[in-house]
Amino acid sequence: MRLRSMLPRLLALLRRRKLDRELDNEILAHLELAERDAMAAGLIPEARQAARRNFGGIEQMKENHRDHRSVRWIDNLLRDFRHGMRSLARDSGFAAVTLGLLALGIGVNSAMFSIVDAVLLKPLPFPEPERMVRVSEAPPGGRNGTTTLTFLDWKRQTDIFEALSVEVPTRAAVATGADPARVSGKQVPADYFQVFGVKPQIGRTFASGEDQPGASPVAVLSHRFWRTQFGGDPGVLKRDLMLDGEPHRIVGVLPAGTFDRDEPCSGSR
Amino acid sequence: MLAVNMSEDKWEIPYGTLDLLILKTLDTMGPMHGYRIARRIEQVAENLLRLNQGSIYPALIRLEQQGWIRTQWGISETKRKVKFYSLTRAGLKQLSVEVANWERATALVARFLEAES
Repeated sequence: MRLRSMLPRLLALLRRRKLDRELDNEILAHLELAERDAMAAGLIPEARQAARRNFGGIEQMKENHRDHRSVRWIDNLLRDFRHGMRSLARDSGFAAVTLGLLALGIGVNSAMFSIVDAVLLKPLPFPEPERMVRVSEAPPGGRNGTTTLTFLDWKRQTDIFEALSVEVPTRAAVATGADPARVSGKQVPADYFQVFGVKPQIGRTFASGEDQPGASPVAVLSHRFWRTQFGGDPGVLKRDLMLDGEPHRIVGVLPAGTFDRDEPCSGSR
Repeated sequence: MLAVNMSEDKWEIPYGTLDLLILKTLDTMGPMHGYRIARRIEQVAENLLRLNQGSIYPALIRLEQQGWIRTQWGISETKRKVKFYSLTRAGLKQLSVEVANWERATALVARFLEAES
């Protein structure tokens, strides 16, 4: 069907009630005129029946009229939809259950999608992310209480991981410019970045021994933190980062994207 | 194509020609309401035709949607507000197309009938 003839048909769907009323009026006027003519022709008592007979089946004609002026399947669809809405409105308990089930279904679906999105569609920004696992003694989202000694036991006893490291989330006050701010970071051992296979963009990551007691405190900046707090200063390695008032020597800056998701900086002690 | 109605000895309207009859009627008579159109077709057919008068309304809406006829509100002889139908310029063109088609079809059939005898 061409658009030229399709358009008025689609418009007729929207004006369905008006068109039906117009047709009813037309039928009425028609029968009136026919009756009048029949009476003029001398058919006094049966004028009305004669008019109706000559007109033919009214309901059948109306259906035919709708078929001709609009798109049958859309018309039926709209009618079914209206019927469905009316049924739901009548039985609100059933409607509530239906809506609840729908909401649940949609909710579960979006939760699943969030997981798929994080795991499959947006993989970790590291080389070989499929070989990377997070080991935890708590369920996901729960607070993990693995102690340092337990971790050291894992590290000594396991041989299934190429590298095993640990991180302790931390927050510290920094004052690089005029505004002091609390930023989140991680306290990590020196071999931390070996797990991720990340090479620094500037400087270096932590050297072995820098996580031993007595070593001077050092920090590696995430790319975003370096950009926002140091304005991407290439000479940042000469500067110190004050964490809770304690100076940390900046030894490196990570490449863009690797640790930019939520951790502004990584510190090591 | 022509179906004879045995009970009343009248002809059904040839299939697909109602559009042509309506367009021709409006062309000859000018703007009319639905009942007049139906009566006019019956009168021209001199009661040889068995027309369900109601069947012109689906045809009218289709012709209107094609842009071949247009409607205007008017007052019937019974003082009722009714639609008056009239031919558009496109409708006039369509009428000549339909007339040509009809003539070609009848000429073709006539040729076969002559060849037969």
